[in-house]
Amino acid sequence: MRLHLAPTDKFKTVVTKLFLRADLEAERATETALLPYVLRHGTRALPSMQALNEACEQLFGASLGVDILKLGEQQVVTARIEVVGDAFLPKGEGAFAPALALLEDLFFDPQREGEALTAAATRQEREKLERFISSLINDKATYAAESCVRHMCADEPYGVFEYGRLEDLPQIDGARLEARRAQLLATAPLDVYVVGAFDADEVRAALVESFALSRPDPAPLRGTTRHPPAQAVREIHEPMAVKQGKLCMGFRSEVRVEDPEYWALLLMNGVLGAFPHSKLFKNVREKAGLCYDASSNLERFKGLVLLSAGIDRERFAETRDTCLAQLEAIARGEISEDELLSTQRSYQQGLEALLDSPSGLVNLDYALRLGGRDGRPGAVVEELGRVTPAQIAEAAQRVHLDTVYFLEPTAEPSAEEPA
Amino acid sequence: MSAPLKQVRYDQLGETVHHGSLSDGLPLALVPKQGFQKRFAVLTVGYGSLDNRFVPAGASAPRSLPEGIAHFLEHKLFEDEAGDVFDQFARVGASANAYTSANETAYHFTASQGFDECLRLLLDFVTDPYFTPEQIEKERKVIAQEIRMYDDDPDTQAQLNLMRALYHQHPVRIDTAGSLESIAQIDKSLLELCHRTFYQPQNMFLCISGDVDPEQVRAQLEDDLARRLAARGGGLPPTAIQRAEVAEPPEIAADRIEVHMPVALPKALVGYKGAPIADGPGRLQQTLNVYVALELLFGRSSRFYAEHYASNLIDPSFSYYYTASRGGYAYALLGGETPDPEALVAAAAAEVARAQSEGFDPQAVRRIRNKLWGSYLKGFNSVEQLASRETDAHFEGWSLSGYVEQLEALDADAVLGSLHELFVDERRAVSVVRPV
Repeated sequence: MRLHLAPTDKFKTVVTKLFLRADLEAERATETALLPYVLRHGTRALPSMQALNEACEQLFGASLGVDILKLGEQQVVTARIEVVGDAFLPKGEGAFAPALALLEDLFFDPQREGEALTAAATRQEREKLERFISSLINDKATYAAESCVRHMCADEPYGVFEYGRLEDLPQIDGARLEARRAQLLATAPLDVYVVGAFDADEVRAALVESFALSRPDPAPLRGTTRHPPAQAVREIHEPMAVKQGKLCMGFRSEVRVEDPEYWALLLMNGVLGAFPHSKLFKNVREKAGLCYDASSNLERFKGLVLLSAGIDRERFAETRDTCLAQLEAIARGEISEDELLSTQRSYQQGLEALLDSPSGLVNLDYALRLGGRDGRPGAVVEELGRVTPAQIAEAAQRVHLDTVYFLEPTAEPSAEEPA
Repeated sequence: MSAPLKQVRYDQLGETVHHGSLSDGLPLALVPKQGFQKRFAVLTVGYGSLDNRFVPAGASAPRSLPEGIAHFLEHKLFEDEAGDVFDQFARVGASANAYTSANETAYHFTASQGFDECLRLLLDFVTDPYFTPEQIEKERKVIAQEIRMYDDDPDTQAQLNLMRALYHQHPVRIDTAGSLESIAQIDKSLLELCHRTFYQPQNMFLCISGDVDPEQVRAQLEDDLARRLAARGGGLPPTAIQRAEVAEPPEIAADRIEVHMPVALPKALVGYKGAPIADGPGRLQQTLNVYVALELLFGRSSRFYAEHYASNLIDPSFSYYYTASRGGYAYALLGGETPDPEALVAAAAAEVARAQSEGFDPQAVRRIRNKLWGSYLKGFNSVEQLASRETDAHFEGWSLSGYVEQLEALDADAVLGSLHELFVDERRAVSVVRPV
């Protein structure tokens, strides 16, 4: 286990966050995704979701949450508990120690029926996950982005949805989840972060005793695979009865977080579409009035750039070409001094802002360490300051369009208000 | 020059708030947070989507304006003579944004560096409008796409339809962004009229939180103000803001509105229309009472949640809230995705009836109070939340210590009383979104 402690009196709360990491694989993704939600149903001491939630309320509103992350081609189980620091509670009250114990029990002493997680919790969470996966379609922007990635990386682990597949759900029972829990705890790299108003010595002792147990060294993971050779650009149109179309363009970069050119790629994405001063917002929204939102996202582990915009159906080709033209302009070195400076400073301020957020700090540190980088905001700012416009242009030249996805309105938009 | 700032210390919380106003009458509050990187400033105008019928500054009769004009104005102010305001913030790396709600339009930025420059820019661009017909046309297209985006969003549509079911006349029924037809009517002169009427210093509030020296910031604000007034040839005399009265009956307009959209599962929202609550501390007390009632009835530790989560009638999308607005309306809302909207409505109504006859356990009320107190304290971790809370307190007329006092005064009988008052079957409406 790696333990990361950051005591500070800057915050009125303490955040404890746990990460368990595994390779993202189609066959295991669904059960891994289900696991933390079933664990969230109760511990031996607090044997129901209701009892658990009541205990959290009693601890001055401890917030307890679990989630699944996809970091490159790895699937990460996370759990987080945040409580008010003991120093701010009425005399004699303490919320941190019980909260830490609760989080530990969630993973190490869950409610069980013999060698299985409970059937009731497993059934309920299977139903919830089924709904969650089916309901992806409700948020059209997210749905379009997921669909683009699914098509683009169909033959790679990255194409696996981190919450799994509907068809796996019926086969997953409490025994299988218990086996997965035991396996993850025995072999998956485990990171625990504690940030905020607490005493480091006490926590170290408590955590080492409880979490470390007699864990062997974690098993080596496959990690994220390199991208396949280039192929012809795919264009996919999916019709749907929506008013606004969603364009999503998936690009592959030759550069990833561990490569020396990564910081140039990050700035490239900033100049392209991460901010309101970026080329996409400026040219696609502000100049052409084609959309309300136009932005790009960088997936650092796999080196994917995903660009998205919500547009009218008849403006599809125009928007696609205008977006592409922005990337090409960067590749030709058309980066103004203003664009470079604004982008460097915007990232810098964004990174400095993380110092004010316990969760923000934890998430950045975890992700960058995973990429073999120094996760402190100051270190990143230094790297970004060294990048030149020529390096940004080179990074853009190494970004290639792979898939164009369009969620296409089936009817012309009517001028009438919905009923 | 304005008077020095007044300090209010909250010892239990270890925080101090500095209150005052500038010489043009702009009220302000500063919350120093030593050791924080981010400095946050938010300039809030007491003008929102509800304010679409009023007596314009300099006129004598009330006039109706196109729906969505407050939001259009918000978009348009992000352009000044020097060009795009976003760009000017970006030059120092600060991020700026704005939003329009029912009662307010708020402009804000965060900056870890270049704060003084950004603060100057914020006051400049919000108080000095610059509109060109070409830019208004371009913005109309952008807002049309924003409206279309929300047209496809089931949550927004369910909420809007619930408002249309609960209210006959009240402008809480209208979409903040307006409609494609209403934004087509907006022009330069209407935008100027709204700006002149509502963007007056006494109708705005500036709040700053972060590692700042309050007196130094105030001095800078005064210097900037003097420069701005000199450039404009003086300030405009303040005019009284007269909003038209809304005649809204206590009854609901329709008991049910149902639409079809491309969604996986139906979504059902249940709303209870309450009586508007007069300005004063009673509104916060009532808000807390209803909030506790909702937590006990429908919260994550409730019997209702456990039972219907297990039966799959509800899922984690289930949520609830209560709002008592100074805009003259109040309602409670609950719901989420469900395979069976009718069963969810019936279960919620049955749970309300049960609690109305059985009452609440004082110990459970204390537990929820602990939770509220904890989340209140958590807000102090964030400069944005602090400023937003202080802004609410300004417009609502309460103070941070007032909030804690009212929390401590919570009692089970008052919570039950609020439940009887608000949750009346005849004033319940339902909004459903079903799959196509």
